[in-house]
Amino acid sequence: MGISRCVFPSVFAASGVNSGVLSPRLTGLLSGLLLTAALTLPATAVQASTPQLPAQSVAAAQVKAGEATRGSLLLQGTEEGMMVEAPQLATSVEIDINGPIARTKVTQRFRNPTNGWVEGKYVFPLPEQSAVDSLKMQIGNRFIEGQIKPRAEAQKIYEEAKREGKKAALVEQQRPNLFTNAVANIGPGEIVVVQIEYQETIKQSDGEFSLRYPMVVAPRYIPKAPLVETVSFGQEKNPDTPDIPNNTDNPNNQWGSVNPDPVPDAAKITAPVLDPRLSAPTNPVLLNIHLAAGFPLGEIKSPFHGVTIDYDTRDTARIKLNDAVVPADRDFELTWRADKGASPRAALFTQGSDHLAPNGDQGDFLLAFITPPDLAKLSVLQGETPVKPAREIIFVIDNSGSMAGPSMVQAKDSLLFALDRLSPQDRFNIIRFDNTYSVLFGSAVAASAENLDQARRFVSALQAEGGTEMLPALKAALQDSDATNSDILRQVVFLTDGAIGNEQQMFDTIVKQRGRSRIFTVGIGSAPNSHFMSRASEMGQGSFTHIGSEQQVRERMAALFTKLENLVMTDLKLTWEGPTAAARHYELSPAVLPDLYSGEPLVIAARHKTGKEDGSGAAPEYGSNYGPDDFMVLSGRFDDQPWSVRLPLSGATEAKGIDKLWARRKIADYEGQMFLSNDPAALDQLITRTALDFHLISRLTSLVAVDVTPSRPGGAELTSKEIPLNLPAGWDFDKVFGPLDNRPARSGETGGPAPANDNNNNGFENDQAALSLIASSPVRVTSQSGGKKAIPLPATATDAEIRMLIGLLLLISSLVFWLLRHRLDLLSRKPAFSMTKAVGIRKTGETQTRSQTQPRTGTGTGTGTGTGGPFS
Amino acid sequence: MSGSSFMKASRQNQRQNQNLNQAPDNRKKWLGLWAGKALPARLRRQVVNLLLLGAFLAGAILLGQGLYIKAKAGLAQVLLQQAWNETLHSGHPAKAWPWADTFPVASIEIPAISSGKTIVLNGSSGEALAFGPGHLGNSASPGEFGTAIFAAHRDTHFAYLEQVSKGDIITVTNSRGQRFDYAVDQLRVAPWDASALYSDDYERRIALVTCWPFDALEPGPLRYIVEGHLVNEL
Repeated sequence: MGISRCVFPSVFAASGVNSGVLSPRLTGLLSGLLLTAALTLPATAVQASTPQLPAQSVAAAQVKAGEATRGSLLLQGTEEGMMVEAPQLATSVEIDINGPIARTKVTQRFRNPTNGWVEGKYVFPLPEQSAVDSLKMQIGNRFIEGQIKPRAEAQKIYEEAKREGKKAALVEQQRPNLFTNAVANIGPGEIVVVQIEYQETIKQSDGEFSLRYPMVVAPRYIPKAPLVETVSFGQEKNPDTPDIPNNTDNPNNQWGSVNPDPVPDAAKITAPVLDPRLSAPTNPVLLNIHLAAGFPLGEIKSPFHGVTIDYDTRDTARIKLNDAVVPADRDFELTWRADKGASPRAALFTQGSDHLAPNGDQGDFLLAFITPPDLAKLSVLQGETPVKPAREIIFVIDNSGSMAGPSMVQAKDSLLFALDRLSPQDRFNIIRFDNTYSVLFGSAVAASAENLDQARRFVSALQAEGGTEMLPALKAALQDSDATNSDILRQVVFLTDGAIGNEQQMFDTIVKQRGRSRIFTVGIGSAPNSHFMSRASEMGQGSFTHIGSEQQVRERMAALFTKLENLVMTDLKLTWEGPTAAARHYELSPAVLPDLYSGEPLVIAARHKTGKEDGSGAAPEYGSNYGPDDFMVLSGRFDDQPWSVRLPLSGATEAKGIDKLWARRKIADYEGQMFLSNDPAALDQLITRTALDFHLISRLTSLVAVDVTPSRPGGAELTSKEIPLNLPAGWDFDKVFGPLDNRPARSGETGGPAPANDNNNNGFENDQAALSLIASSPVRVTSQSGGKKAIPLPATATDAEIRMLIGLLLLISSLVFWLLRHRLDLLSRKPAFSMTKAVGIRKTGETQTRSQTQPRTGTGTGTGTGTGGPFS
Repeated sequence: MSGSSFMKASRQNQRQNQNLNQAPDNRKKWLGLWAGKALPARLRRQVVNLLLLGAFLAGAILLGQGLYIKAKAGLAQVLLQQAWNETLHSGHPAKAWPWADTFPVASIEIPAISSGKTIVLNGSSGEALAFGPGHLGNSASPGEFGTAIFAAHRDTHFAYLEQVSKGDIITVTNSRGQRFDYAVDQLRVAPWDASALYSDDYERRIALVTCWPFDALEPGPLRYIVEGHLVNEL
């Protein structure tokens, strides 16, 4: 309001001066300008509120962390440039690919570059369906194997060990594809090595096999307040911790001058300490792959990293990264194809009798990979031209208020794109909904040019407003006039952000009223309710597509349409034939086989339980004692033709880890049922049990390893056991430690003019200062890259105040001007009543026009005359 | 000043115009003196009148809109309070008004500054934020591992964030009635796209975010972030 007070009076003082000729023009101009400003300002304000400005010079720490695109957490000190480095990490990855199964060993080396005791914590992504089953920790020469425990129990064990000063590691699942690894009590300059193993199945699509290792490890060390406790413990109870001289008298003491080795065997296990300001923090990754494809290899590609490929035989190869160590800032991907004509169509693996689940259950496991025939080619073989099936597509678009902004644009673009892809024989309809809904055509119409035009106009005119009432729209979409006709594919495509609360009702409706329709969901916007949408599409036997940005519209919608247009293999069933197989009972995962789209393989895991409860009375039979007549038969319907494939069970290949894959799938199945179940606790129990039985990390179970320190033999009762001293395979210290040895700056030994590092002082007090700095880090800055992004924050400024301000200014200015002019009008009318007075005024006016160079005095006279007038 | 008085005034003006038109050229001369000579006087008057009327209306509308935003933010909380009680009672999400696009998911209170209970809505769309703080859908739920992020406008629901200081307790109640106490350990400013907040974390944290600076009129890229960690769970 201050502005209005100080600006406008002067403006109108000025216009009062130029009462003669200029004022109306000037003030008219002014109010015009104001009007334009008023109209455009809110618009610009809105534009400014849509986030687009890059971060600039906000906090030096963030900019710096941004430069360090990978590696450890930097904590900014009180002054700029004073960085404390949190524990560092190096990773070595060994991937063993055996046919369609891959086993990966991830070895992570934590190093503590500070002079205090710290806890290293680290979040890392793994492939979605990976079954993590092994954790090993190495301290000095000892190896400790992790135990699977229910999550809360594992946490308790870890916390206890942490308090007692024992080294401990805890691996937890935060999301199905995201894990955390915490290592407690890493001494000054010490290194702790942690190895995790997991199993996964290879992705296969259109004859291409692919494996992805999420390299964007985006480490997050999160030092916590209890660190200081650990320090004091280290001082009290660990006699190995040397007394570090307390050179408080020289706080600017440099790294090199006094540096008694805090750990006796540090020379063996410590890499030189790096000056955090000289070397950007790195998170180097070593990667080696042994590929045994099981078929003659064709082309092998790594789209994002340079690799060296050595062929051992026609079927096997070893793949190494060109750069021995790469920064972990891009996911690694490897794809391979079979040599021409050698592409496998099916594979069958078994794991037999020797497996004994911890709970005493025995059983054997089967894993089958079946690629359906290329559907288009199949129809050609059958002497038909590949016809696209007749389709009826119902588009449902959400134009509720939550879609406002980019989401609505993306949804419209996606739908317009979809309309372009319709072929003339398709039939379609569009339903839009907010808290109401409307249907474009009475019933589905042919995709004629005219109808499409009408649809495009309808879509373009949509505005995002109102609430989200999806249920009536869903019901309308599922209303099917010709429900029994299975010749026509009926597809419902939902474009929404899924911001609803009545998911359960939606699911119920889908299950009950779906009929022959298939439901495809397209999630729009940066954070759609993917849980709802993937579940809905699963129940609707369709698929879920996520469109997060304008750029993805074209590509993702095209991929969706390839699915929509291509023939599907439906009604898939798995049966067992032969004397042994048919008599057995198998537990399948997935329990209900999905439809198959062109180029996608079907992966089935089966468990044949041979526990006591089998009840057959016959001697338990294990393993692959199948006869030549035993078959696994997969049958389905393709283009109205029956289709089936028979896999001889006796030909199955022995493989390890099939049980884990089965269990991992089973857990995923249980998780999927969560939403439909009335008794989530029972499902939780099933998940916990399966995970414990098969030694797998899950949402409810974690792996924990605790060191048994000699000083505290009582700790032996804790859950860890020591494993023999021989190095586990893939535990190659040269590889893990080697690269870092090339680094310079072992300033502690040279004693030379080490780079000034005020922060990393040797004095204990300074250590503590550094640690408390870590503990209460002023800015929790993490260097992140790629896959894991900081959550963007929404715009949280209303334009209420600016609107009110401008509104008030406009009101006041228009009123003031009107009053002013009114008075002038009165003045100009005065001659009608009193000539003499008017002449007098005119004289004043003339003086004013003449003396325009002195506007201020003019104002005085002008106003004076005005107010003095008896009629005003 | 009200619109009607202005209308009256402009009618008066018109009457004057008519008077002037009937009046002889003498008066036109006077008019011409102050109204300039480039345009016919009557046209000029009408244009100016229109502009004045436009400016006045625009001002009134803008002022009204501003007040409406404020009023909506305040009023909605009252309605939300009812819906929230119902949610706590029934355990199911309840909408505050039938056409609402979102529903209450939690309540926030900061006793140290006696903020009172603020009802948090699901999601952070502009629609939700107009009525209450929003719980970011891609952040953790209160009490869950990771950071639970709540955003609200700096000039309405989260205006009080300015007064929050380190060590203050933020009390969050979720829709199941569970209560979580977080202790504030960090106050900072970050750009909207580099929040350094992550949904997955090894700790259970909270972040209340709003636009920064507090007294600015224009929306900007900076956000004020109040962070805390879980200290108590009831």
